[in-house]
Amino acid sequence: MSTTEDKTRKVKLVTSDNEEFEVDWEVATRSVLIKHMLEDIGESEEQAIPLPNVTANVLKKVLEWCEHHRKDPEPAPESSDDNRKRTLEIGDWDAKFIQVDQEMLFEIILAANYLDIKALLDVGCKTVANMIKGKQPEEIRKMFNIVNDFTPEEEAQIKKENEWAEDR
Amino acid sequence: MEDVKSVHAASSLWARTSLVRRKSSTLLNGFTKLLRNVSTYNTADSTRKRLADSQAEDMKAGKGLGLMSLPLDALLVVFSYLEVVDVLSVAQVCRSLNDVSREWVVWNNSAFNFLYRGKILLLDDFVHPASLPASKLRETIMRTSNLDRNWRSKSPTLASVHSTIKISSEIKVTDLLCCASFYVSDRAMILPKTDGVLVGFNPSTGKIIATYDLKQKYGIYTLHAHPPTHSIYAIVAEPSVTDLKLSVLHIGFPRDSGESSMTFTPTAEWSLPQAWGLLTVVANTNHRLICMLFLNPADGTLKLFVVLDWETRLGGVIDTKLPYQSGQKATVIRFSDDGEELVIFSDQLPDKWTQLTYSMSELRAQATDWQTACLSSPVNVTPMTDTSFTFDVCAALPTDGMRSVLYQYWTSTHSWIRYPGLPIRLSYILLYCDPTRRPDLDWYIVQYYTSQDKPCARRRFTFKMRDPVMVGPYGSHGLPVMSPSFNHLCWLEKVDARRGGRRVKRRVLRIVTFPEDGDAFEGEASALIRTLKVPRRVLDTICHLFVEPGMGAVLITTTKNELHRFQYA
Repeated sequence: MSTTEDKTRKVKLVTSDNEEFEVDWEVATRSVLIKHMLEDIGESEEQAIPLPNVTANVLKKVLEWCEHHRKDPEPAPESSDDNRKRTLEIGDWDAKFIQVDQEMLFEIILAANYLDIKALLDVGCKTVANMIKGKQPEEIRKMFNIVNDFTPEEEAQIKKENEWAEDR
Repeated sequence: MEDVKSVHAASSLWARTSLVRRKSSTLLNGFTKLLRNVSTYNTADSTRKRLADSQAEDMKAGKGLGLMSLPLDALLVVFSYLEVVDVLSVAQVCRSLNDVSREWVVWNNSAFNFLYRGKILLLDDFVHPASLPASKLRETIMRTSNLDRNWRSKSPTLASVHSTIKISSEIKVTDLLCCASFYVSDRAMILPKTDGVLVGFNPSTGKIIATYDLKQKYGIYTLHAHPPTHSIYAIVAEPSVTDLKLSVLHIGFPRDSGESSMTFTPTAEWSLPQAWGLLTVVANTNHRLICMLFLNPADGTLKLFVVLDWETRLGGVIDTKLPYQSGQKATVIRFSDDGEELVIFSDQLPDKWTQLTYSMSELRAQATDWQTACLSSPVNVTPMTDTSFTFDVCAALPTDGMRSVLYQYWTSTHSWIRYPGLPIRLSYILLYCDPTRRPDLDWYIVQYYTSQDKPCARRRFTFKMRDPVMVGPYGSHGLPVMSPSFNHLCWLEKVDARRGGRRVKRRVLRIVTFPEDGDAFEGEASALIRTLKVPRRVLDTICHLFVEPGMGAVLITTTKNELHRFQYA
């Protein structure tokens, strides 16, 4: 499907707030969702692709990532299970890229999930995992502004159930 | 960012339907397959719905974007990067995250990660973790994690009161062969006796559940699990002056959880014409393959006798041309998991490693009736070039002028559990001693992991076992009271102590946790050696030790014919 024509082809993307982005085919197809939509419309069409779940400021950030990773080898279709050695390490460029406020971090994760860009989703999720690592429940609540919605009885019960691996 | 051009344009409402279709069919790369595999235990739908409900409420309340805005798929990716201890913290944050933390995928992923790091899961009876429902899988992983943390802590503590069981008077503990037990489950172990009798034993009740006389007192035998049939195969080879007797014994266990029994079924028995120096025997039970390593005394080289299928009569002899020096080298053989390759590793002290890989299909093409195959007429099979090599490894033993001789070695397979992408791993534990010195003083342990096709790290893990308590007779010097397992080794050590003003030797139970797979461990080995808490009255009467990572326990038999079980998780 990646013919030579594709390399020079431009793709138009339209965000939810009606901004249009024109990017190289190679950059846009980092997104499996966009890639599949392009396959559906065929090569002759010049239509813009609507991305109703992504705003311009987020898409700009996502495309910055796609641009930097445009030459990365595509993951093999079945590699999801084969590469499950979970390391929390993030490459230097990605680490710098993901230094954003929490709202943008979650916007990027949502966009990567929606656009189906696995490597970017991993970068975002690893960042969140790093924020959680080694923290107590109350610290996690504070960090992500989450309300404790357990009743006191439930909380005691949940604490008990999750105590197995704590230091004795 | 040169290629990204932002221009305003009228939005095209093209193909909204196409977009929706794609989204639902592709889902999320990483978890589609996993989620599909678990439809029976999958609670994801209810978790997904509750999460969506709470997100709708947050939206109504005007809350900004945050962790709780992520869809289940993305939260599961976050969880996949968390250690067990962090998963348990997140579980206590709020209801929605608690739901997510109980998802099967989270714990199946932890099971994979644990296995990937070469840890042993606390599972018995050939249960595959992926076959367990979420709650049971979670409990298994939590216990495993607990055990691991405990055994790595400074002084591992007992998780519960230890139990003592009187061993049936039908067996005398002192007649058991040390370092050769085979743990199957809480209800079944195989304990070989020095007279060639295999004893099926229930470690929970102390009762003998079956016995089988191999009638081969001095043979080499190996036990191999065969999970598909919930059984074990014993491969027994006994060389004599005139021939070599080879037999395959099937050992079955009932699946029900009641009082278990065992069945012993002789599956095949042959008498082979020659009896050269038989060094070791391995098997691949799934493909009914057996390989025996022989020494040809005429030229001092190693030959392999391969049985291609113990149900047919096809086999052949391979001449490795590898030299052998008694006591200096550890030579180990193994089949690949798919049974298509045979690998021979030869470990030349101090720092060379040679490995040859043979293709089974090439051997199959030339195979003959193996029962009459002659060791002196090998088939013409050459090692595969891309996986055969020699390389340097870091010095295995301290070179303090000791004349080390390989005394005994053990091979343990990590686990029979297979996951896509999970490397198959073996652990080799080699026991060296210096026969010119007092044998009860200087013993060296060398341990390393290998993957399917090569050692995991160049540096091998080595340490000195000081002043171990000995059991005998086993060879000329006896053997330290010890229990090797895939990632731990337990032994009994004598240390100086004072009792009533007098200097005495006191016994302590040591456990070493081998550095995790592939680690180039550079620290002091002593940092990985711990002391297990066991009462003195037990230590003073120990006969045998069995460290059973699959049970999270250490089992100890004593001269009083008792079995003590110390549970560490």
